[in-house]
Amino acid sequence: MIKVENVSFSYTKAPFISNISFQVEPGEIFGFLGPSGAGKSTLQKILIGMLTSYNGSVKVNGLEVKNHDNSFYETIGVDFEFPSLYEKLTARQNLNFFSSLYSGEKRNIEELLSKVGLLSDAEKRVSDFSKGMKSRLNFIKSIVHNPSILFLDEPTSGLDPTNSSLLKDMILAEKASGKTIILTTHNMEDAAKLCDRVVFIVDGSMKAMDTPHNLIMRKGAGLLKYSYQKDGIEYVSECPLNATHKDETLLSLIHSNQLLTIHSQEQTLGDVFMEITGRKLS
Amino acid sequence: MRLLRLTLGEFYFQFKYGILLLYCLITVVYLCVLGMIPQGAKITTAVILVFTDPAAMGLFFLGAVVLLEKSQRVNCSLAVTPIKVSEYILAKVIAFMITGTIVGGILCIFAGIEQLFFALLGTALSSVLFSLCGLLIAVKIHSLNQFLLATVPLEIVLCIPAFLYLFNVIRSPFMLIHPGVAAIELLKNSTDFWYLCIISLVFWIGVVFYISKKATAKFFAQMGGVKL
Repeated sequence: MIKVENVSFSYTKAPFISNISFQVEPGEIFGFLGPSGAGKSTLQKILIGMLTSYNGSVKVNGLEVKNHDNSFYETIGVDFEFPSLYEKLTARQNLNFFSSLYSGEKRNIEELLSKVGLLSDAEKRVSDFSKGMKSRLNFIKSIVHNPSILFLDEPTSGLDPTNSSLLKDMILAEKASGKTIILTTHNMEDAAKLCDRVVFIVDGSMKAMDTPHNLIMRKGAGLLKYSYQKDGIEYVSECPLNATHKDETLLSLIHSNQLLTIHSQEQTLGDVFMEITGRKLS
Repeated sequence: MRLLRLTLGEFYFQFKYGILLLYCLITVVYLCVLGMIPQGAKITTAVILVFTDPAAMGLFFLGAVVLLEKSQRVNCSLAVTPIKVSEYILAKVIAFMITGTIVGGILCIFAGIEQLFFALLGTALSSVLFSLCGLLIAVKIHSLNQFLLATVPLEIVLCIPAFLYLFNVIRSPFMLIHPGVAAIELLKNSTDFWYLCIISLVFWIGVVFYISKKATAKFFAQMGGVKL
C-alpha cells in the first residue's frame, strides 16, 4: 500500500531526512515516533505529495507520489496538526463544503458529528469552538470522503483525556473498517495503544522499527516489584518476571497471603525510545 | 461540477465575510452620487465609478479572501483535496466577476449608458483582470500591510494611463494595448475599435492567468514548508 525506499530530503543544503525505507501493509496503523523537529511531519508531507523534491522512491497505492495528479487526493485523508477550517462557517458547513470537493461516496455527516460529540454544536461557527472541538472537527473532515489511507499528524494534541480516548477509539474503528493509517506523534502512549508498528525517527533518520510490543520486550522480561510487612517494617523487593518461581520470599508471601502490593515493571515505549536514541520524546 | 460547487462556495464566503453587503451599500451610495451629477457628466462619472470599483473589487477583496484563507490555514486543507489550481483560481475570479458585473450593470443602467452589452463586457473582463492581479499579489505576500503596499504600483500602472486617455490627455489607438484603456473604451462605447479592446483585455487576462496559475501552484507546493 505504501512503499518508501531510500528517501532523502532537504529544505536547505544540509540533509534533513536521509535514507528512510519502510513498507506499510493495507489495514495497518504505522506510527512515526520522534521528538519535535525530528522529521516526522516532513516525512508525512512527502507521503501526501506536499513535498515532491525528494530523492528515492515513495509509492502510495502503487503511484510514485512526486508524479501524482489531483485524483490522488480522492483516496487519502489528511488530518493536519493544526486546525485548517473556515472559521466563519459552522461545523456542518465546513464538512459539507469539503465533502463536496470529492467525487466518491461520502460518509454520513450527522453520524460523524455524533461520533465525536459535536452534533449539538453542528450549527455553531468554528471560531466559537475550543481547540479540542476544532481538533475533533478537523479529524472527521479528513475522513468525510471515506479515504482508504489516513494520515494523522498528532490527532490527540490538545484534547482532554475523555476526548483523546474517544478519538483513539475512532482511529481503531477506522482500522477495523480496513483503512491504512499513518500516525505521526510524539505521544508514546498513543503510539503504544494504536500502532501495529512504529518507526523511531531522530534527526531525520530511522533508529528502529518494530511492533511496540517487540520494542518493549527487546531486553527480555521485565521485573516484578512487590512489598510486604515484617515485624512492623515495610520491605520492597523485586525479581525478574521469568524467575518468579525461584523467589522463595515471594512464594512464601503468596502462600501466607501477606503481600501488600505487587506490580510488573515493564519498560515503556518512551523508555525504549530513550535507550535506543538517547533522546526524550517531548 | 466541482468548479460550480467551488464558485457557489465563493459566493457564500463573500456573503459570510460581508463583501456582498458592502457592495450593496456601495451601490446605493454610488447611485446617490450619480443622481446628483449633471446629465452631461453622468456617463463619464459612471465609467470612472465602475472602472475603479465594481471592476476593481477583485483586486482588494479577492486578495483579502486569500489572506483570510492563509490565516485560517484553509489552503492546507484545499491543497490535499482533488481541486486543481485552475479550478481554485477560476471559482474565485468567476464569483467576483459576477458580483462586479451586476453592480457595474446597475450603475451603467442608471447613468444611461446606451451600449449596455459592451459596458457589461468591459466590466466583466476588467473585473477578471483585476481579480487575477489581486490573487497574484495575495499568494506572494504574508500580511495585509504588504498586500496594500503591493497593490499601489499596480493601481498606478492600470489606472493612470486609463484616466489620461479618458480625459483626452493622451489619445492614440495604440493606447488600446493597455488593458485599463481598453476597459475604459468598452465601458464608454466611444470607439469603433471595440474588438481591439476585447482582444487587448483577453490577451492580458491570458498573460496574468498564466502567471497567477504558476504562482498559485508554487504557493500550494510551498505549503509543505519548502522554498521553491
